[in-house]
Amino acid sequence: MSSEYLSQFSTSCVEVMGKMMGLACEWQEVVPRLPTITEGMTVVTLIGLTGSTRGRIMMEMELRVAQELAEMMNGESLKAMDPMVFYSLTELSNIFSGKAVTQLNNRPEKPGLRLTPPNIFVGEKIQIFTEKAALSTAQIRWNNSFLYIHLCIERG
Amino acid sequence: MKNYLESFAKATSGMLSQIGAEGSETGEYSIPEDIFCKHEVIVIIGLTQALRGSIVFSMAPGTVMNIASTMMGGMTIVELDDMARSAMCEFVNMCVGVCLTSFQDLEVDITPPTMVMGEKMILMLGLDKVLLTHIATPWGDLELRLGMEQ
Repeated sequence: MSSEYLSQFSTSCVEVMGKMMGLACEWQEVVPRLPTITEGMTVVTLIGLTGSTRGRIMMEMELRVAQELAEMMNGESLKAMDPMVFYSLTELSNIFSGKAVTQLNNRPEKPGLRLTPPNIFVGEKIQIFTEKAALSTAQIRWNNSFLYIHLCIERG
Repeated sequence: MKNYLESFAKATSGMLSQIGAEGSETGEYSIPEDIFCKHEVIVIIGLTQALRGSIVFSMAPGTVMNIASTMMGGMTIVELDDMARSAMCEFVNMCVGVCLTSFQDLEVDITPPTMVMGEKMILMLGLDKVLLTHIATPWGDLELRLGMEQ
């Protein structure tokens, strides 16, 4: 199930990034790994999942990538620590997670998933710990940039 | 919104008393002035259904080790290993769970706790309204931030 969910979230992210920013992205599942993979200043958006399945969806990227995406979304230059960079990522993660959850909830098993509003963490040497969770990770790649989607699903 | 944060703070103080940290004091309720985190450890629990948002506990590593040690029957903890992190997450889970049982007329679902640690951290709850308070405990300061959607 974790793999199906990861596929749905990653596909949604690729589609939304294509529509919003015109990026030709590809995704692939990679070896799951938390604490975070990116080095230096890391940006992590975190959305909670409740319903028949509980857990977290996290989007992780370098600050440089966050700035690049926000500039494309807004069509203007932004400083790396401009709050607009983080608001843009909040919006991006909200849109693709909402799209994925709508599609998952329309499946015959009707999982009744709900999302929490997104939260953003920015910092150095970020480590994330989620107890009793199965972790799966996807890498989304475009041009010379990439981000990660981590899905943590609570084990029964 | 203040009454919800008061309930979370009250439940947390109650849990601290139960594990032996008598005399915790809750500070003023205020809107955060900035997005920088004073502490290096954050435990976050998401809320859905009748309340949609997040409750965030932040504290220093020493405070986490003291709480985790007490949760584990006084076991000596010298570093924030998986067991200590798990104990702290469980403590926060219990505080939030106890609080939610007091909201008898509200159906609220919660996510499992997630602990985030890092340096020079910025936390943006990405929400319309955020309120914070502090609980001074014998083991150090606990900061509670409640972010809720309008």
